[in-house]
Amino acid sequence: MIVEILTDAERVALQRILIPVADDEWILGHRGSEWLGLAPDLEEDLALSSITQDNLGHAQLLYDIVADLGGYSADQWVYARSPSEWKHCQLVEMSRQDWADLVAGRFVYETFDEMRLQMLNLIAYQPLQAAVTKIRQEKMYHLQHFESWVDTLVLGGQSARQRILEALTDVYAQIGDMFVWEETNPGLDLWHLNETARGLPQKWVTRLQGKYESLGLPWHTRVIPQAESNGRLGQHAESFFPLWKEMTSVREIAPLSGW
Amino acid sequence: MEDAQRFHDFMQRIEAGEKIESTDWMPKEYRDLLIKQIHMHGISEIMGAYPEKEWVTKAPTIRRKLALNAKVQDEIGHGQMLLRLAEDLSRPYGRGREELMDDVLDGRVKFHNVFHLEAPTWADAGVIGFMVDGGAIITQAMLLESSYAPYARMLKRIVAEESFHMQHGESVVLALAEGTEAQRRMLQDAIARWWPAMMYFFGPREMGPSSKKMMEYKIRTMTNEQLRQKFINRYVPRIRALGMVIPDPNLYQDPDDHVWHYTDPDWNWFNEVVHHNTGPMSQARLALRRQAHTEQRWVREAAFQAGQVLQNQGA
Repeated sequence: MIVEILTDAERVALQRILIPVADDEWILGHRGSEWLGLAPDLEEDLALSSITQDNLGHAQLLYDIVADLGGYSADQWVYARSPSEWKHCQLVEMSRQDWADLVAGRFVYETFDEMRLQMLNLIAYQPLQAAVTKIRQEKMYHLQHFESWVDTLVLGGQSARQRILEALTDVYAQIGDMFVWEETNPGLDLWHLNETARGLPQKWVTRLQGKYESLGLPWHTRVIPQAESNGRLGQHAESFFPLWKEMTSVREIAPLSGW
Repeated sequence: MEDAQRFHDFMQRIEAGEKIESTDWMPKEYRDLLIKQIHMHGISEIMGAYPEKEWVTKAPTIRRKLALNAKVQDEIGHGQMLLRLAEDLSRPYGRGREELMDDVLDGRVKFHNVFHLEAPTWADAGVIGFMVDGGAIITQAMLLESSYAPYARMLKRIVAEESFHMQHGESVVLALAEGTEAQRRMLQDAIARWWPAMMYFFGPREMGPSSKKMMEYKIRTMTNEQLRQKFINRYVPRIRALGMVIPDPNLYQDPDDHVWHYTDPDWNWFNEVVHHNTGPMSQARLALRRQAHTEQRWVREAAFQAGQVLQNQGA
């Protein structure tokens, strides 16, 4: 049964599940906005900024749901937290690098996120289901977009192929905390999602292996690497601190004023 | 048909207010003026993305971040549409996107004076929307009447989007005007920074030979001074209504002929900035464009090569 009202325990549990998801999308959108005017051509600039707009919009949808469950407003979730209160994974906070790195990172993340959204859709809370439906519709295009960029670079000559292969390898080393659910575990219990969550890494590895094989790329049996530090627990790479400082710098001038 | 006769017929069409399509015969001079105008317009839209993109990452609310990201995207979109028009006109010269973009980096095409300047605070991000986009609307509304039909049609969409940008800027500016002392000071400083640049924006009092020719061909329909007067007339009351001061002690409107008198901007300094990319941010912004265009040429080449592979597979 799909419900519109949650118990207190469910409310807290759902907030804990959604914050890491919203944080992933927000930070991804923030990093995406750094690419404005810098994509390989104008057409890609338009596509990528449109994806960025979607990412920020998804985060807003989810923060709004969390805010409606009590506590911080959506803006406070973004602007009033200290760096260690952010729960996004390390992959999304990577500084802007080469185009191949962006493509590899986004392809890996979007493949994972589609599976995570499928799982969230099992939570029978009406506002969340409406949001997830909308997000998945847009995400389908994001995944297609980055997957086609992987194909393009693989087929785009020796040097481009080399670059995307190296980027995929580098990205793989950074996904340790992507599948971690630590603080959200009580919520996963409540909605009987533990087993689904535990199965995600294997499902994701199988999907990626399929992609590698279809492109004739070498696939070595891969396991999800151990997270050296865990973004889901608020442990972030050095590169996140300048991002956070920049993001909050204007609002900090008059935190209680209208902007 | 003799060229002289063709030219005569063409000018008759122009004078009768007819619109020219891209497939119509046109004198070389008309084509070249259009390329010059549209290329510069398109590149200015693209270079205009840089001063504002710096503020997307710092935008102080979720709503502002979404709006500013969308605005910068629109500007790139305008640049893309206009460059396609310039590419189409440049076809007889064998010049395409790569060449038109190389021209920016090699200093062969100018971009608007305002995008060579610093935008050091959040208020600048608001004032750019409020005043620069507001100024652009005035220029572009005139171009809606342009004799070149594809340009006029494209401007319809561009002007509609620019008016959203202006409203976005106005909303940012209003929030600052109603804010704390620090926010109001930030706004006042930004207005003081951008006012002289806006006086230059519409060009010299006495128009140059190309601008005069563009009037003859009805590519444009108003003089620089007419546009500037329109801007001053619109913005003086708006800025004063915010409780802000316009930094020009000589600014006044003659009660008889309603003409605004103003202090001239430093024409020589701005000319130097625009013609030789010597503004405080000219080189930094060109470096960003170079990052996109030159450093990522490999991506465009890879996409081209992949396209060939897929085409051969399909064949």
